Amino acid sequence: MSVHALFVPRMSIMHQLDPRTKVILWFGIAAPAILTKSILLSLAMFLLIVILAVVGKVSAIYLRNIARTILPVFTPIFLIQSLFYPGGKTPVLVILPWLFFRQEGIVFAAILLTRLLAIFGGAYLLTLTTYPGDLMASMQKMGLPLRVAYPLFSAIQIVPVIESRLQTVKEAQMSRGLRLQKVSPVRKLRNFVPLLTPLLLGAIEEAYRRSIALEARGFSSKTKKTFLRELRVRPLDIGFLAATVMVIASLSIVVLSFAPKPNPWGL
Amino acid sequence: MIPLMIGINVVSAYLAASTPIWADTLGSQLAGIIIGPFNGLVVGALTNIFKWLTFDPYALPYAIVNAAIGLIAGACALLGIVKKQTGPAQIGRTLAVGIVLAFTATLTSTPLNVTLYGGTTGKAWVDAIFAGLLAGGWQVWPASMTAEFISDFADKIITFFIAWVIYTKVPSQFIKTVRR
Repeated sequence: MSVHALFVPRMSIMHQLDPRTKVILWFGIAAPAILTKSILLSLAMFLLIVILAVVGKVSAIYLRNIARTILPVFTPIFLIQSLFYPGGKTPVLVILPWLFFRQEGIVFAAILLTRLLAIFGGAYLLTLTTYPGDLMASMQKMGLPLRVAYPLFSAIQIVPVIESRLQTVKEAQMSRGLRLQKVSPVRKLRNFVPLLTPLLLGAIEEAYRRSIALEARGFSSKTKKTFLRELRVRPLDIGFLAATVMVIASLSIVVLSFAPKPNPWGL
Repeated sequence: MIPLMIGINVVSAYLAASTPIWADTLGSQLAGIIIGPFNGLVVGALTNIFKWLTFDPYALPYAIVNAAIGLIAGACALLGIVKKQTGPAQIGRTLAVGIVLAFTATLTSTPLNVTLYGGTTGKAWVDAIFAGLLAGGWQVWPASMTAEFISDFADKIITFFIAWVIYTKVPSQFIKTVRR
């Protein structure tokens, strides 16, 4: 297991945008998917995200990771809803007399999953193209207190340290006779105490040391803090935002006006 | 202390990977008990935002659930229900807090499960219960809530019991240092 920020550094327009612009873009793209029940519109919004990923020069990694996370999350949702959706009555594919794919369930699952693609797809692009430090600075500019913003972004450095300490604790406890491999789930749960207690004690010591280091650098000082990387909304942000909002509005109008009527498949 | 407790949440979920429980709120519960309910809430919320920023694109909405767990665990400690003593009475109180946390998790996660995922949870055995209830003619909300409660009942009782055992083993001097 290895934890690291999803951010992929590139020289692109998406990377140059202020994080606040990207948050507004994300909401703008997710809104039509949330407000309507149109599979095609949600897919159009996802396509727009993929185009933005191409603009951000992260399309290959974006599509690979989305495909990897979609399968384990989306497959059970699709199967459960298409087979057991309570309002489902119209058989599409019969497996057994009581077990069949239902049209209403397939439509419900498709609306749900394409909507999830638009919502989480946009959020994932935000994290891929935004340096975590910039996200912290923009959150602070939006009013998030430093006492909340700092722990979140310092966790990106600290969690890998905790993980490597866990490995050290595991080895130390194994040398004292603790069995960690090929053990039952109950034994695994019992192992939590000998593994996590030393980890927590070490964490408390570490927190004490870090608090001294932070205070030495004026963490609690009431003086207005400055940022290493200055963020500001520039004409590029406003232009990009205006253009994308126009594309979202045009896509919504076109897709909704071309949807068949009646529309039993939720297109 | 907060980023370190986020780390405890992450590694405990990793340790629980091949068990039937999640254990991804252990750090929030410990933070609530040791450094107070507000910090438990912050650790819970930030854990899921951190997971969203690093390895789990779907973790963000469940920040509410993790925050509520940290808050309630901390509130129970603040009210004197969770103490550093052992014995049957304290074990009983610890299990009772685990049940309260199971209700908290069920009430906060079911609306998210239903709205975002049509009632599924992402844990195979829980989704199997949900599918079984739907096949038995249940509606989505009660089926999702029941499946979620069954999983939370096991997860939160076990996790909170582990959190309490760890808490009893942490020397008082360390806890005083953290609280100061």
